[in-house]
Amino acid sequence: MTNLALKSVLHGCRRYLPVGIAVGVSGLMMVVQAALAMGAFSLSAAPVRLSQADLWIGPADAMSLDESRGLSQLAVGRLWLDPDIVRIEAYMSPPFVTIGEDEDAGEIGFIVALQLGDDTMLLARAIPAALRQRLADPGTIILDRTDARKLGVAVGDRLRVSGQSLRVVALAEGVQAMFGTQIIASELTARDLGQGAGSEPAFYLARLRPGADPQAVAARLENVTPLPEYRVWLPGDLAAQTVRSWALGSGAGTLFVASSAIALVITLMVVSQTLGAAVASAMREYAALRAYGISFRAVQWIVTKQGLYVCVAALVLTAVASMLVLWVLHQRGVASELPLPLAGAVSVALVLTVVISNLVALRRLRRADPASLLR
Amino acid sequence: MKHDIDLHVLSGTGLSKSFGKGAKAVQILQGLDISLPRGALSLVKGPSGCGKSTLLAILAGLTAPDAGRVDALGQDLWSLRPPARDAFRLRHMGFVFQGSILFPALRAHEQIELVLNYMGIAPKAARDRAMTALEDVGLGPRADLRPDALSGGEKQRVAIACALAKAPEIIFADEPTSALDTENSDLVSRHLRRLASDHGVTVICVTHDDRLSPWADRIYHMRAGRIDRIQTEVT
Repeated sequence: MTNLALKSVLHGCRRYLPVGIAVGVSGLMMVVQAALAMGAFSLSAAPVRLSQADLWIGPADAMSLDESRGLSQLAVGRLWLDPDIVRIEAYMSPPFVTIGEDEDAGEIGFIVALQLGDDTMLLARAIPAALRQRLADPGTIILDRTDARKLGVAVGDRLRVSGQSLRVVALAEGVQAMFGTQIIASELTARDLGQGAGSEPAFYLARLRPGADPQAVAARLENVTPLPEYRVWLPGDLAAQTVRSWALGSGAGTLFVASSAIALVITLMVVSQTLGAAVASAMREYAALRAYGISFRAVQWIVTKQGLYVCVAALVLTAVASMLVLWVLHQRGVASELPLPLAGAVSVALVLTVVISNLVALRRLRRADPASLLR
Repeated sequence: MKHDIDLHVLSGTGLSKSFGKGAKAVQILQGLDISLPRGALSLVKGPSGCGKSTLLAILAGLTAPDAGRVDALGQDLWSLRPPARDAFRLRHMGFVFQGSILFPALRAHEQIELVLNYMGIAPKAARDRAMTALEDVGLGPRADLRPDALSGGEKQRVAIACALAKAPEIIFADEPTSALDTENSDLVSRHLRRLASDHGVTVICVTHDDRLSPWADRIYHMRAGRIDRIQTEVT
C-alpha cells in the first residue's frame, strides 16, 4: 500500500518544522523544569537514600525528613527492646551555620554529624568507613564535590564556618543539600559548631539483624498500645514522602503544572495551525481522492497518520534534546532527576496535544468537496 | 474494437438544480434529460454558467440534484447511500480534472497505485497496472518522476493513465485540454478517444476547447440549464 501520509511528511518536512519546534521546545521546557525540580527535591531525601538503615523512626506527625520537631530517646525506648534491631543511630536536624569570613554576610550551610564507627549507617553509601576516618581529627570536614567547586576550595584548604577554621579532608559525590552547602563532620566537630546542644534527634536510624523483615518489624513496632509517639518508615517510603512533600508543599508542583499548561496551549495553537495549513494546501488532492470514490474516513485516516508521524518525529527529537540537556546538567554537577512516570506524563501530554491539534486540523478536511473540482 | 454505442450506460432524466435560497436562488439545470452511449466520447459545450459542470457533478454522483434521476450502469445513483455511492465511483468511474491534481510527494506510478490500492488491488498487481497504463500514455520512462519534474501535458497524461488503470466504465473529464498547448492537447485528446474506442469506456467531457471537437462522437450543446441540441455528425 502506498503510504501517502509518510511520503507527504517526508517530502514536506520543512512544512512541518513548526510542529517539531513547538513540541520540542515545550517538551524540553517541561522535561528540564521537572528534572531540575525533582533533582532539587530529591536532595531533600539524600540523607535517607545515601544511608544504610533498614528503618527510619520519626515523630508520628512528621510527614517528611524536614518536619520533625524531635523525638526523645524515652519515646523510642521500645526500639532497644526489639530483638530484630541490632543498631540504632540518631539523626539530628542539621543546624544552620554561616560560611565565610564575614559571619553576617556568609553563605548558609548545614552541619551533618557522623559517628566514626565502622558500622555507621548515616550517609554510609556516599561516605564509606575509610573516608569517614579522615574526620577523626577535630576541625576536619568533608564537602560535596560540586559545593567545593562553588566555594572554590579543594582538599587541604581551610574553610571558615561560623567563625571557626575547618580543614577540608575529602570530597564526596551526591551529598549536596537542596539549599546551601552541606558540611559533613564528626560528632565532635559538629558539637564544637553548636550542633545538638539541647535538642532531641529528629529521626532514628535502625539496622535489623540479617534476615529480618523490615515491614514486619515496622508493623510490630507501630501496633502497640497505647499508640506510640513515633512512626516507623521504610527508607524508600520516607524518601518518596519527603520529595512529595517538597514538590507539593513548596508550590513548585503548581508552578510546573501551570507553566506546562501554558506551554501546551501554545503548542496546541501552533501545531493545529501548521497541520491545518498542511491539510489546506492539499485540499484539491484530497477532494480528488473523494471524487475517485475513496471514503471520507479513509482520507481522514491519511491526515491523522500524517499528524501521528509528525508527532512521533517531534517526540524523538524532544527525547534526544532532553537527554542531551540532562547529560550536560549532570556533567556540570547540577542535581537533576526525571522519574519514568513523570517522563511518561510529559510524553502523554505532548501526544495528546498533537492528537487534539490534529482533530482540529481534520475539521478543515470537511471542505474537501469533490464537486468543487468541477466548477 | 467497435463498441455498441446504442447501449446507454449513463443517463439523466428530469435533472434540476438550483443554488441559493428564496429570491436569490439561481436555477442552473431545468429538467434536463441526457443519455450517454457506451464507448462514445461525448462533449458537453455551452457558454459559461449554463450548468455544464453542475451536470457533470450530478452525473458523477458528486452533487445531488434537486429533482430527477441518474442511472449509471443500471443503478439509480442517487438512491444509493453515500458510502455505496463512493464505492460505486471507485469501482466504475474515472476522473480527469482541469489542470493536474497530483500529490507532490508521490511519483507518477505511485499516484496511480494509491488509487488502485484503495480499490483492493494488491501492491504488485497495482504496480504492474500502473506501469502498463503509464507506458500506454507514453510516460513509461518518466514513471519515477514526481509532479514537479513533469510538464503540464505529462501531468494530465498521468491523470489519464490513472483513469485507464482503474479500468472504469465511465470517465468524467472537466476541461482536460484547456490548459495545454496544441501538441499536448492532441495527445490528451487522442488518449481520451482511445479510451472510448479501444476500451469501450463512456467518456463525457465538459469543455470550451474546440480542439477537442474533432475527436468526439457527439456534442451536447447546453443553454440555460437544458440540452439545446445534440450534434452527432462531428467534423
